Amino acid sequence: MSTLKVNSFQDTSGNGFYPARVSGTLNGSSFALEQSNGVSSAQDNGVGKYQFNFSNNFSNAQYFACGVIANYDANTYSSYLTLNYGGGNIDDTRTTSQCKVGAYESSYADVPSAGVLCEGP
Amino acid sequence: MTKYRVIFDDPDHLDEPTKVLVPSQNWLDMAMSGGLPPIWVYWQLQDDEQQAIKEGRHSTFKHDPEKHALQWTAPRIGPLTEEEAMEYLVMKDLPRRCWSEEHNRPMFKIVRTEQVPSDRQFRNAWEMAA
Repeated sequence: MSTLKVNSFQDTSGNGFYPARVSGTLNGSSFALEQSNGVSSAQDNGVGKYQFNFSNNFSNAQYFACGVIANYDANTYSSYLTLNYGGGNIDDTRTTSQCKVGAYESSYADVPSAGVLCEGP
Repeated sequence: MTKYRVIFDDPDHLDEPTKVLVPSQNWLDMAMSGGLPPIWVYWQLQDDEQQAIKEGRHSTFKHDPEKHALQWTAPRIGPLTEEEAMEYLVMKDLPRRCWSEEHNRPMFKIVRTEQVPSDRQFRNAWEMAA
Protein backbone atom coordinates (compact mmCIF):
# COMPACT_ATOMS: atom_id res chain seq x y z
CA MET A 1 0.00 0.00 0.00
CA SER A 2 1.41 3.41 -0.99
CA THR A 3 0.51 6.73 0.58
CA LEU A 4 0.43 9.87 -1.54
CA LYS A 5 1.24 13.05 0.35
CA VAL A 6 1.33 16.42 -1.41
CA ASN A 7 1.13 20.01 -0.28
CA SER A 8 -0.46 21.34 -3.46
CA PHE A 9 -1.41 20.50 -7.04
CA GLN A 10 -0.48 22.65 -10.04
CA ASP A 11 -1.76 22.71 -13.60
CA THR A 12 0.60 22.70 -16.57
CA SER A 13 0.92 26.49 -16.40
CA GLY A 14 2.06 26.33 -12.81
CA ASN A 15 -1.18 27.66 -11.39
CA GLY A 16 -2.60 26.16 -8.23
CA PHE A 17 -5.09 23.38 -9.00
CA TYR A 18 -7.88 22.66 -6.54
CA PRO A 19 -10.01 19.72 -7.66
CA ALA A 20 -13.27 19.65 -5.79
CA ARG A 21 -16.12 17.27 -5.19
CA VAL A 22 -19.39 18.45 -3.77
CA SER A 23 -22.25 16.23 -2.71
CA GLY A 24 -25.39 16.69 -0.71
CA THR A 25 -28.77 15.15 -0.07
CA LEU A 26 -31.80 16.72 1.45
CA ASN A 27 -35.27 15.72 2.43
CA GLY A 28 -37.54 17.75 0.18
CA SER A 29 -40.56 17.17 2.39
CA SER A 30 -39.18 18.25 5.76
CA PHE A 31 -36.39 20.22 4.15
CA ALA A 32 -33.59 18.85 6.29
CA LEU A 33 -30.08 18.78 4.85
CA GLU A 34 -29.21 15.15 5.49
CA GLN A 35 -25.66 14.67 4.21
CA SER A 36 -23.30 17.17 2.71
CA ASN A 37 -19.73 17.56 1.65
CA GLY A 38 -18.48 20.86 0.26
CA VAL A 39 -21.93 22.41 0.69
CA SER A 40 -22.40 25.58 2.73
CA SER A 41 -26.19 25.62 2.55
CA ALA A 42 -29.22 24.21 0.78
CA GLN A 43 -32.13 26.26 -0.44
CA ASP A 44 -35.81 25.49 -0.67
CA ASN A 45 -36.91 27.63 -3.62
CA GLY A 46 -40.48 26.34 -3.74
CA VAL A 47 -42.28 23.06 -4.38
CA GLY A 48 -39.86 20.63 -6.06
CA LYS A 49 -37.15 23.25 -6.56
CA TYR A 50 -33.99 22.89 -4.54
CA GLN A 51 -30.57 24.49 -4.64
CA PHE A 52 -27.18 23.57 -3.21
CA ASN A 53 -24.71 26.39 -2.46
CA PHE A 54 -21.08 25.33 -2.43
CA SER A 55 -18.52 26.00 0.30
CA ASN A 56 -15.98 26.97 -2.36
CA ASN A 57 -16.49 28.06 -5.95
CA PHE A 58 -15.48 25.86 -8.86
CA SER A 59 -13.09 27.50 -11.31
CA ASN A 60 -15.72 27.49 -14.08
CA ALA A 61 -19.38 26.58 -14.52
CA GLN A 62 -18.72 23.58 -16.77
CA TYR A 63 -18.07 21.21 -13.86
CA PHE A 64 -19.71 17.80 -13.92
CA ALA A 65 -23.07 17.96 -12.14
CA CYS A 66 -25.55 15.21 -11.51
CA GLY A 67 -28.81 15.50 -9.63
CA VAL A 68 -30.87 12.62 -8.29
CA ILE A 69 -34.34 12.67 -6.82
CA ALA A 70 -36.49 9.96 -5.29
CA ASN A 71 -40.07 9.16 -6.17
CA TYR A 72 -42.46 11.56 -4.47
CA ASP A 73 -44.38 8.70 -2.88
CA ALA A 74 -42.59 7.98 0.39
CA ASN A 75 -43.84 4.39 0.42
CA THR A 76 -42.06 3.58 -2.81
CA TYR A 77 -39.07 5.78 -2.07
CA SER A 78 -36.56 2.99 -2.29
CA SER A 79 -38.24 1.31 -5.27
CA TYR A 80 -38.16 4.19 -7.72
CA LEU A 81 -35.24 6.49 -7.92
CA THR A 82 -36.47 9.29 -10.11
CA LEU A 83 -39.63 10.87 -11.39
CA ASN A 84 -40.23 11.41 -15.08
CA TYR A 85 -37.98 14.41 -15.05
CA GLY A 86 -35.50 15.03 -12.32
CA GLY A 87 -31.97 16.03 -11.80
CA GLY A 88 -29.60 18.92 -11.86
CA ASN A 89 -29.59 22.19 -13.73
CA ILE A 90 -33.30 22.87 -13.85
CA ASP A 91 -32.63 26.23 -15.39
CA ASP A 92 -29.76 28.09 -16.96
CA THR A 93 -28.58 29.83 -13.81
CA ARG A 94 -26.02 27.29 -12.65
CA THR A 95 -22.94 29.15 -11.52
CA THR A 96 -19.56 28.25 -10.04
CA SER A 97 -21.07 28.62 -6.55
CA GLN A 98 -24.45 26.87 -6.80
CA CYS A 99 -26.40 24.19 -8.62
CA LYS A 100 -30.14 23.60 -8.62
CA VAL A 101 -32.01 20.30 -8.52
CA GLY A 102 -35.64 19.85 -9.46
CA ALA A 103 -38.34 17.21 -9.25
CA TYR A 104 -41.01 17.37 -11.93
CA GLU A 105 -43.92 15.17 -12.90
CA SER A 106 -46.54 17.14 -14.82
CA SER A 107 -45.70 19.89 -12.34
CA TYR A 108 -42.99 20.44 -9.75
CA ALA A 109 -43.40 18.10 -6.78
CA ASP A 110 -41.73 17.73 -3.41
CA VAL A 111 -39.77 14.52 -2.98
CA PRO A 112 -38.48 12.68 0.08
CA SER A 113 -34.91 12.79 -1.16
CA ALA A 114 -33.01 15.06 -3.56
CA GLY A 115 -29.28 14.96 -4.06
CA VAL A 116 -26.52 16.45 -6.11
CA LEU A 117 -23.00 15.40 -7.00
CA CYS A 118 -20.65 17.89 -8.64
CA GLU A 119 -17.01 17.47 -9.55
CA GLY A 120 -14.50 19.65 -11.30
CA PRO A 121 -11.53 21.95 -10.93
CA MET B 1 -27.74 20.85 14.86
CA THR B 2 -28.15 24.51 14.03
CA LYS B 3 -31.30 26.21 15.26
CA TYR B 4 -31.29 28.83 12.51
CA ARG B 5 -32.73 29.22 9.04
CA VAL B 6 -32.71 32.18 6.66
CA ILE B 7 -35.90 33.16 4.84
CA PHE B 8 -35.62 35.60 1.98
CA ASP B 9 -37.21 37.11 -1.09
CA ASP B 10 -35.27 37.95 -4.21
CA PRO B 11 -36.07 41.61 -5.01
CA ASP B 12 -35.62 40.84 -8.73
CA HIS B 13 -38.20 38.03 -8.56
CA LEU B 14 -40.82 39.09 -6.04
CA ASP B 15 -43.43 36.92 -7.77
CA GLU B 16 -41.56 33.78 -6.66
CA PRO B 17 -42.33 32.11 -3.31
CA THR B 18 -40.26 33.04 -0.28
CA LYS B 19 -37.10 30.94 -0.19
CA VAL B 20 -35.66 29.12 2.81
CA LEU B 21 -31.95 28.60 3.28
CA VAL B 22 -30.73 25.77 5.50
CA PRO B 23 -27.11 25.98 6.64
CA SER B 24 -24.88 22.93 6.45
CA GLN B 25 -23.76 21.79 9.89
CA ASN B 26 -20.34 20.83 8.45
CA TRP B 27 -19.87 24.32 7.09
CA LEU B 28 -21.02 25.93 10.36
CA ASP B 29 -18.56 23.77 12.30
CA MET B 30 -15.79 24.92 9.98
CA ALA B 31 -16.84 28.57 10.42
CA MET B 32 -16.91 28.22 14.19
CA SER B 33 -13.49 26.62 14.23
CA GLY B 34 -11.98 29.47 12.20
CA GLY B 35 -11.60 27.86 8.78
CA LEU B 36 -13.11 30.57 6.57
CA PRO B 37 -11.36 33.10 4.31
CA PRO B 38 -12.41 36.78 4.41
CA ILE B 39 -15.82 37.28 2.79
CA TRP B 40 -14.39 39.56 0.08
CA VAL B 41 -12.70 36.50 -1.45
CA TYR B 42 -16.17 35.19 -2.42
CA TRP B 43 -17.47 38.62 -3.41
CA GLN B 44 -14.58 39.06 -5.80
CA LEU B 45 -15.44 35.76 -7.50
CA GLN B 46 -19.16 36.62 -7.60
CA ASP B 47 -18.44 40.01 -9.17
CA ASP B 48 -16.28 38.49 -11.90
CA GLU B 49 -18.85 35.81 -12.70
CA GLN B 50 -21.78 38.22 -12.70
CA GLN B 51 -19.87 40.46 -15.08
CA ALA B 52 -19.31 37.49 -17.42
CA ILE B 53 -23.03 36.60 -17.27
CA LYS B 54 -23.95 40.22 -18.02
CA GLU B 55 -21.63 40.28 -21.01
CA GLY B 56 -22.90 36.93 -22.35
CA ARG B 57 -19.62 35.04 -21.94
CA HIS B 58 -20.53 32.78 -19.04
CA SER B 59 -20.23 29.59 -21.10
CA THR B 60 -16.50 30.19 -21.57
CA PHE B 61 -15.88 31.99 -18.30
CA LYS B 62 -13.08 30.89 -15.98
CA HIS B 63 -12.16 32.43 -12.66
CA ASP B 64 -8.81 34.15 -12.44
CA PRO B 65 -6.56 31.42 -10.97
CA GLU B 66 -5.09 33.72 -8.31
CA LYS B 67 -8.46 34.97 -7.12
CA HIS B 68 -9.83 31.42 -7.18
CA ALA B 69 -6.92 30.08 -5.12
CA LEU B 70 -7.55 32.68 -2.41
CA GLN B 71 -10.44 30.51 -1.21
CA TRP B 72 -7.76 28.18 0.19
CA THR B 73 -4.71 30.40 0.52
CA ALA B 74 -6.09 33.65 2.03
CA PRO B 75 -5.43 34.01 5.77
CA ARG B 76 -8.33 32.59 7.78
CA ILE B 77 -10.53 35.00 9.72
CA GLY B 78 -10.61 33.06 12.96
CA PRO B 79 -13.44 31.39 14.86
CA LEU B 80 -16.94 32.86 14.56
CA THR B 81 -19.91 32.48 16.87
CA GLU B 82 -22.91 30.68 15.38
CA GLU B 83 -24.68 34.03 14.91
CA GLU B 84 -21.67 35.56 13.17
CA ALA B 85 -21.40 32.48 10.97
CA MET B 86 -25.06 32.93 9.96
CA GLU B 87 -24.39 36.55 9.03
CA TYR B 88 -21.36 35.46 6.99
CA LEU B 89 -23.51 32.84 5.26
CA VAL B 90 -26.13 35.45 4.35
CA MET B 91 -23.44 37.61 2.77
CA LYS B 92 -21.98 34.62 0.93
CA ASP B 93 -24.99 32.62 -0.29
CA LEU B 94 -27.86 35.10 -0.66
CA PRO B 95 -27.99 37.28 -3.78
CA ARG B 96 -26.23 40.49 -2.78
CA ARG B 97 -29.22 42.62 -3.82
CA CYS B 98 -31.18 41.01 -0.92
CA TRP B 99 -29.04 42.50 1.81
CA SER B 100 -26.85 45.25 0.38
CA GLU B 101 -29.50 47.43 -1.21
CA GLU B 102 -32.21 49.40 0.51
CA HIS B 103 -35.78 48.19 -0.06
CA ASN B 104 -39.11 49.26 1.36
CA ARG B 105 -39.13 46.14 3.55
CA PRO B 106 -36.55 43.62 4.76
CA MET B 107 -35.73 41.08 2.08
CA PHE B 108 -34.35 38.47 4.47
CA LYS B 109 -34.63 37.33 8.07
CA ILE B 110 -32.58 34.93 10.16
CA VAL B 111 -35.16 32.90 12.05
CA ARG B 112 -35.33 29.90 14.33
CA THR B 113 -36.09 26.56 12.73
CA GLU B 114 -39.45 26.25 14.48
CA GLN B 115 -40.59 29.54 12.91
CA VAL B 116 -40.56 27.94 9.46
CA PRO B 117 -43.83 26.07 8.77
CA SER B 118 -43.45 22.30 8.68
CA ASP B 119 -46.62 21.82 6.63
CA ARG B 120 -45.72 22.26 2.94
CA GLN B 121 -49.25 21.96 1.57
CA PHE B 122 -49.30 25.58 0.39
CA ARG B 123 -45.54 25.94 0.04
CA ASN B 124 -45.67 28.11 -3.06
CA ALA B 125 -47.92 30.61 -1.26
CA TRP B 126 -45.45 31.27 1.54
CA GLU B 127 -44.68 34.93 2.10
CA MET B 128 -42.36 36.58 4.54
CA ALA B 129 -44.33 38.26 7.34
CA ALA B 130 -43.58 41.95 7.85
